[in-house]
Amino acid sequence: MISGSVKKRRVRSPLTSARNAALLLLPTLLLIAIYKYGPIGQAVVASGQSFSVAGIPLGWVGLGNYERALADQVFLQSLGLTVAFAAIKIPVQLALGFSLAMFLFQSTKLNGFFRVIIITPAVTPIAIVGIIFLFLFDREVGLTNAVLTAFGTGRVGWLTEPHAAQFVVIFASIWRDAGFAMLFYLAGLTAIPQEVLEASRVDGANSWQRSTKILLPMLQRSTQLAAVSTTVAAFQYFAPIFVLTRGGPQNATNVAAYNIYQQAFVFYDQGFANAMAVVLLAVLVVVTAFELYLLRSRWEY
Amino acid sequence: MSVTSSKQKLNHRTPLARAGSIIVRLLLLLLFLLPIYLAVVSAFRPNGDIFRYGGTLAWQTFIPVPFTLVNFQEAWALPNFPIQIVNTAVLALVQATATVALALLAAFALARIRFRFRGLIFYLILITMFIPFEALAAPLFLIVKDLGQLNSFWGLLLPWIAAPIAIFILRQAIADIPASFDEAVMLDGGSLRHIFTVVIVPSVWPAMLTAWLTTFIFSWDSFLWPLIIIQDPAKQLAQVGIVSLINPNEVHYGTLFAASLIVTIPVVVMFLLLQRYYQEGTVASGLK
Repeated sequence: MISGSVKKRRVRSPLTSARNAALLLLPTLLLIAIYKYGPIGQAVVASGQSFSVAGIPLGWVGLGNYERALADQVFLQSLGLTVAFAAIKIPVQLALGFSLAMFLFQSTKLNGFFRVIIITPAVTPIAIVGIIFLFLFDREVGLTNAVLTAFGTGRVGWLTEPHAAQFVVIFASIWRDAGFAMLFYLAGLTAIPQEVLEASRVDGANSWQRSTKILLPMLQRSTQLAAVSTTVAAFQYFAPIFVLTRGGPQNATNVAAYNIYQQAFVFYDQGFANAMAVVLLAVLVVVTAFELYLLRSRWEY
Repeated sequence: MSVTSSKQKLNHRTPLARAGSIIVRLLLLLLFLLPIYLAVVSAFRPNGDIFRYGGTLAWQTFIPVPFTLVNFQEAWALPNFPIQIVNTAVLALVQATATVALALLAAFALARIRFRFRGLIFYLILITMFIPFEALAAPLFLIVKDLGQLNSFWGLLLPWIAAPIAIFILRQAIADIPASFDEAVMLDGGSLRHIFTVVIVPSVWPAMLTAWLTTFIFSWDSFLWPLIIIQDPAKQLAQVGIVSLINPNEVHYGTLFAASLIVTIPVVVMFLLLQRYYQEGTVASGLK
C-alpha cells in the first residue's frame, strides 16, 4: 500500500533517527537510571551489608538484616500499621472523592469555588498540614477539645492516646488527599457520554441508584487509578507523623516509612533500614497487584 | 440554552433537596476551610490569646481581636528563616523549569521519533511514578552521598528533575498534534529542530504550564528529603526550618503559624492563579 519511495524517504528522515532520539532522551534516561532505579538496586545491595554510624559499608552480612527485620516486633507492627492505614484510607478517601465529584459535577461558579476549597489542602505544604492538625487536636488549645468541652465531655489527649493518635493521623491524610480523589472522579464523569447521564435521569432513577448502579461501574478506571495512587501515597506517608506523633504513642503511629527513617537517620543502621525498605517495596507490589486484580475493568465504553 | 436548562433543573429540585445541598456545603466549609482559617487567625493574634480562647468556644476563638502583626516580625527575625524561604523559592523555580525542559525533549522523542524499544522505554519511565520514594529515602541517601551531593543544592535538585508525570503530560500533548505538521516542515526543508521550535513548543504551552505548576507544587512540598540531606541551616528549606521550631513542651503557635503562612501563601497563590491547569494536569495524568 505504501510505495517504496515513501518508505525510503522515511528511513533517512530525522523522524526515525535513533541517534536523535537517543540524544533527546539521554539526560532523562541517565537521571532516571541513577535516581529512580538506582535506589532499588542500592537497597538490595545495602540490605546485605552492615554500616558504620558514618554510613561506610563494613562488610557483607548475607541475609542477616532480613532475619533481624522479620524477627523485629516493631518493624512487623509497622508493616501491619501501614497496610491497615492504607486499608482505611483508600475506601474512605475514594468514597469521599466520588461523593464530592457527584455533588460538584455541574460546572457552576459556586461549584468551582467549592472545588478549589477542597483542593487547597492538597497544595498546602505537607508539613504545614501537620502543624494545622497539631493545633486542631492540641489537648489544651485545640478546637476539637473546645467542642468536646462545650458538650461537657472531658478533654481527650488526641496525640497521646494510641487510638486517638491513629485517628488524627488518618484524618489528616484523608483531609489532605480527598481533593485528588475528587479530581480523578470528575475526570471520569466528564468522559461518560452525556446521553447515559440523561437517560438514567429520565428513567426516574433516583440519584443514589444512578450513582451506584450505573455510574460507579463506568468509573472503574478512575477508581483503579485513584486506588493505586492512594496506596502509594499511604505507603510513603511521613511528614505529618514526623510533626504530630514521631511514631508514638507506644509505636501506635509508627508506620513503615517512619520506622525506616528512624533506623536509617536516627539510629544510623543503614543495612537494617535498607532491608526494611526492600520488604516494604515487596509488600507494596503485592498490595497493588491485589488491588488491580480486585478492581479489574469489567466495563468498556 | 445551557442557562435555561440549568435553571429548569434548579426549579425542579424540591425545597428539601435544596436545604440538603446548603447543609452539605456548610459541612464542606467546616471540614476543609475551618482548619486552615483557624491557623490563619492564629497567625494574627497575640500568643496569649491563642491560649486564652483556643480551648473554649467563644466568638473570639474565630475572630482575631485584638489583631497583631508581631508574629510575623518574630517569624521573619528567626535565624535563617528568610534565607530558607529564598532557598525554597529558588529550588521550586529551578526544579520546575529544569523538569519541563528535560521532559519536553524526552516527550518530543517519545511522541514523534520512531525508534526501537520506544514503547518499552516510555513504560520504564512511566512506571517510576509508582515507586514510593519516601520509603526508599535510605538507599537514595546512600547514592547521593556516594555522588558527593549531600548538603548541597544539587542534591536537592537532581534526583527529581527527570519526572515521569511531566514527561507523560507533555508526551500526550505532543501526540495530539497532527503528524502532518511535521511532514509540512520537512517538505519545506526544515530539520528536527524546526519541528520542535515551530510546531511543537507553540502548541503545547498549556501542557508545559501544567507540568511546570505540578512540579513547582511538588518541589515546594519537599520535606523528608531536605530533612535528611541538608545539615547546614542556611541551606535548609523553610518547611524543615519551621518544623524544627516545634517545642513539644510548649508550642509557640503564633510564630509557627505566621511562618507557616509565609511559606504557604506563594504556593497557594500560584495554584489559585493557575488552578485550571492544575486540575487539568491531575486529570491528564490519570485518564488519557
